[in-house]
Amino acid sequence: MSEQRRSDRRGGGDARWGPETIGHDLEALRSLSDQGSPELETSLGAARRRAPGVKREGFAMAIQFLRARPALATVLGVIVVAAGLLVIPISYERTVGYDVTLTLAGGNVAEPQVREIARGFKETLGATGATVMASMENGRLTYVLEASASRDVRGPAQAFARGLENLGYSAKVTATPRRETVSTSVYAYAMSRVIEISTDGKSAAQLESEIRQRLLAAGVMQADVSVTDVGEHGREVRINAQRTSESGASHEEMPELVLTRDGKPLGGDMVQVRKKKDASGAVTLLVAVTLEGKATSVEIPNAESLGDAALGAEIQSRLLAAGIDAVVTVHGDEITVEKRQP
Amino acid sequence: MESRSAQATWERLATLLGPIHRSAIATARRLCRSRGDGDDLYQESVLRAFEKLHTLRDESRFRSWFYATLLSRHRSRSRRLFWKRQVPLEQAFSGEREPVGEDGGRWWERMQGAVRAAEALSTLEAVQREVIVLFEIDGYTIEEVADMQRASISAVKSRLSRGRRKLRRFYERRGWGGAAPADPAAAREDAGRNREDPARHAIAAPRLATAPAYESVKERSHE
Repeated sequence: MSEQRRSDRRGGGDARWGPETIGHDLEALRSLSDQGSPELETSLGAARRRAPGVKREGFAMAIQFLRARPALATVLGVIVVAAGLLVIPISYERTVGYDVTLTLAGGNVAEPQVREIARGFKETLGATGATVMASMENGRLTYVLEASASRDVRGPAQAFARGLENLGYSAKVTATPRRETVSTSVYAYAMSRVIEISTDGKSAAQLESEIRQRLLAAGVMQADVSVTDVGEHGREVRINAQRTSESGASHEEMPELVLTRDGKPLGGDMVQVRKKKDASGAVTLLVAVTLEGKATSVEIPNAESLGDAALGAEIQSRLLAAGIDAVVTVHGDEITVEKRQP
Repeated sequence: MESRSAQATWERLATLLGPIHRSAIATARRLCRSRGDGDDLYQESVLRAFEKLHTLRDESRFRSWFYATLLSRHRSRSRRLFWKRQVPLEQAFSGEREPVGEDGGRWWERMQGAVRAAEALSTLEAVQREVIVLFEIDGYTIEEVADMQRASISAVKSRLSRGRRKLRRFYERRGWGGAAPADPAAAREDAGRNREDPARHAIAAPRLATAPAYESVKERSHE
């Protein structure tokens, strides 16, 4: 470009694309920034003093380096946070089993009978051993049987006590959850909330057994697992798991089960029903449905106030609103979601 | 201690920079909000040019090569938010001394205009600011700016158009662009008062002649 053209346009006074003020102001900026320029030698000298070889402190240099590379600084920041998640420990409590106490009182319980009851008690709980203590209370002999189980045995223990009562014994059972504090990294905690099981080359029975074991290891004591083959290529997995939060105990989320094939999560239709019961007895129902590639979740508060038919209709209408046309049937605790047949 | 080759490189750079030194340092100052920051940007660019001089193959293209380096450093500094945490605008030209013999009112008006322009430019994206400075103030052609920005001509035109629009809106929002005072002497007097009263150093509305504010003329067909 010729110097003539440049000088013609300089000054911005002809900035007709806006108020004349802009042109004047740009001209003023040009004029002022032209004044008092340092000589070339001065600028070169200043630049030379900044050249490598003039040592700067390591930390200041690192800061300068990162300031000039915001993307790198961001990546480093993410790495530091990720490392923190791997290292910083968090503590949480989990139920690892139950201590069950059976108190037998009244009646004339002979020692051989007590031994027999203790054996049955141990087998019912699946415990490795049971202790028996005898004591006199109000002039009556009382036996206290104690055993520990690594799963949720409150139901079977209650049933065992009811059986004894039917036989004429006075039996009372209490089950106390045994909890332990686990200290682990945030990452490990997050991973413990996800149970990933590969289905590759496993039969239905093997898969069922593995799911049960992994749920147990994750602290889900009460889980009914059923895996059945459907047709030539289908497989139905049903899991009915319950977790009860003791009052005052920290709330434990139910872990998420992910079945994989060739390292990838299995697709297919999936229905996940969760019930959350709060201290007041109100039940919130959470139904997550994946059907023919569409996925949605429905939350129904105070589900206990609805009858089976009303609850089914409510879930069905919510699913339809989300674009999933399915038939929902509710029978007590069982909720079935099936694709509507054309 | 510098090596002999480093000294030779500095000498070569000095030779190449000589003809464009004044215009380049002025451009650096216009891109920044203060004179000091502009000088710093220029030094940084010179240092970068020293480090990369071996990549320059055609010395006849040194101007655009050096400007490309300068603009690259400018963008890098803009990303670092240097631009935003520099000297407050009111102090950007505070070191400026009133030239001997120049009319005080005019000088003050010019100073305020430069501060206004610097503030308006600071609101633009770095690439738009570059185009406005290079094209509108420095007077380079679109083709030259494209060469310096390592961008296509259409991209430069688009940046110019957007930059202008933003500047115009900025001025509109601030109410800068009012009519000239009826009495130019009064304007000078008022400007003089502003200068004496630090509390009035805030950017005042300009008192310049009224122009067809939004002429529809498509200047140089870039809008």
